Amino acid sequence: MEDEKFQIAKEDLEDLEIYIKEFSDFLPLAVCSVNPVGVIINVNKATEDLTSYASLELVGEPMSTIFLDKNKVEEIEKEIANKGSIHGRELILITKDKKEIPMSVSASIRRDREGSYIGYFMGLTNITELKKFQEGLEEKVKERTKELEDSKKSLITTLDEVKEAKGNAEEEKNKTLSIITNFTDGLLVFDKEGKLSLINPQAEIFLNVKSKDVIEKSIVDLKTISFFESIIKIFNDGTESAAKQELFFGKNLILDASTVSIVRREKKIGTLIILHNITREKAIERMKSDFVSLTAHQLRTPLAGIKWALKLLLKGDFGEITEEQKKFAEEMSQSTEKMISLIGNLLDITKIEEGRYLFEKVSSDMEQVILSAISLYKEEIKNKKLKIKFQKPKNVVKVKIDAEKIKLAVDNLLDNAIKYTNSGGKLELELSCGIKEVEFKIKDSGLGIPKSQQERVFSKFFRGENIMKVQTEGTGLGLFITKNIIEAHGGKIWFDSKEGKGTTFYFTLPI
Amino acid sequence: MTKKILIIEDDEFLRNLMVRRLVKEGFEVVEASNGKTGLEKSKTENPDLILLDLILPGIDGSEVLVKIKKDPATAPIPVIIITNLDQKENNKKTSDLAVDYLIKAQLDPVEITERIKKVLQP
Repeated sequence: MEDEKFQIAKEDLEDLEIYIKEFSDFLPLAVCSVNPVGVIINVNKATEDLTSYASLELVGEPMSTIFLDKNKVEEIEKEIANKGSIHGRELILITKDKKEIPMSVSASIRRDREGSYIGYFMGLTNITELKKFQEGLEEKVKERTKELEDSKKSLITTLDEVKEAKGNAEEEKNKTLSIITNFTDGLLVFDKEGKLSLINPQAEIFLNVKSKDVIEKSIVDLKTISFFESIIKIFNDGTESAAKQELFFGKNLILDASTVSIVRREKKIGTLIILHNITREKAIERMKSDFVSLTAHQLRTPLAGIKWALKLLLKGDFGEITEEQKKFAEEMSQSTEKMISLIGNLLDITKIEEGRYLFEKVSSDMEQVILSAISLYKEEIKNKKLKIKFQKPKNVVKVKIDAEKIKLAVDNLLDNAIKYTNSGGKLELELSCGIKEVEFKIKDSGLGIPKSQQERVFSKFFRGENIMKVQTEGTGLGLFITKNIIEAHGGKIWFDSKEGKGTTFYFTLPI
Repeated sequence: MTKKILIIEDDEFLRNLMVRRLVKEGFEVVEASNGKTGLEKSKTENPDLILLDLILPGIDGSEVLVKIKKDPATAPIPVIIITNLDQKENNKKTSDLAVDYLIKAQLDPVEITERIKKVLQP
């Protein structure tokens, strides 16, 4: 019975031993059993694979044989004996073919029934991949760190640049603002809704308002403030393009107001009104006009004296004169007439510049005005054998004009046409009537205006170079005055001309 | 019968030339060098015609004209304005008086004398 029991127990034990052997060989973890003096007593299949040693080559050898750092192995063994276990220590394994493999080592103490230390089990895990991964990771981290540092650097640089740009922008803004604030012209900015978005101190002074009372207010609200009335008028008048207008604020302040559309990316985003103080310029202009006017008037009386005296001299009131004396007296007479007409023109100019050239506009018959101008030149037209044609509409053309001035304008144009057309030439006059305006056209077959000088035709004292050679008479004021007359009526004047072929002047007057 | 002309003109040279011409044409001439004297003489001298300069020191020519035309005693006397001005303000001032005998002129003595003769024609 006892034998049988023993036999069964022995078989069981053998089965268990086989089981353990199979199990330990199956384990992918390399496991070694070590005795208390550090000698390997058993290794599994995974250990053989890992170390390339055969089981028999390892059993009986000290554990430190397969590790690079022998001392560390001894330390670990002491630690196992003291603490009972260790986990995850890193050691470098040396294989049979001298390869070094990083290992993670864990161990657990073995005791017998009495609790005496009988050695330990040690498990070895190849951590090459992990190491590689770790190293790769570290490298990556390093790389990333470097990259991060680089981007940090560039960020800092960018930040600095942004700071600088911001600084510059602020400085620019401050500059602009201080320019606006200290500008000697008044500035007003209206946004696209017509609200006042900016008013500079000078404009406050001009308009006698405080910024806080008017800012952000709409045109409708601002209308009630007295000085704003005229501003609003020009705002409504001239929003489309740059427009200039003179504003009178009592006697002591005359402003020149320019209205400019503020356009960004082809869209109108507001309106800028610039107020320029021209009080002083106006005063000087007036003084100049007054001076010229006074001088001209003063010159007229003595000139009239000379004219009269010459006339009487020629008439024989002072006794008989010789043919030669008569000839000179006649030339003196002509020069005097020229001076008188020059003074007349100077006076006209001062009057134009004073803006009080036009008197009452009365509904007048344009045809009559033109005919009366033509009648003044009958003699000259006859003398020069000019062919003159006047084409006019069937109906009477009535226009509200200062007839005297329009006659002067026609007169000036006719005078030029006759003066600068050679004998036997042609003059064609035409009056036509549209819905909103009448047009007058005078075409001659005269000398024409050189292309290079056409721009200056309407300026004061302009005389064509080509006509100066043939005609010394003329003041160069006629067309200047004519243009002013036409424009004072709200009309337009223009011309086309070809040197040697002739000139056509046109003007229109609103009905 | 010799016609009497009153000439009111402040410029001595112009006045002398005019007088010379008129005398030569057989008129009797009375002179005044300012508006005040001119107005006085228009009443005391009984002229047949007055030649009046518009710009005068003291009382202005247009004012003299207004006074002459407002005074029934002098109103019928024809007045010829002598002016070197073509300023419409002045002309307007005088034309507002709508005087038939008023002749505006910017003429020389010979032409003025012709006008005088025409105005004085019976």
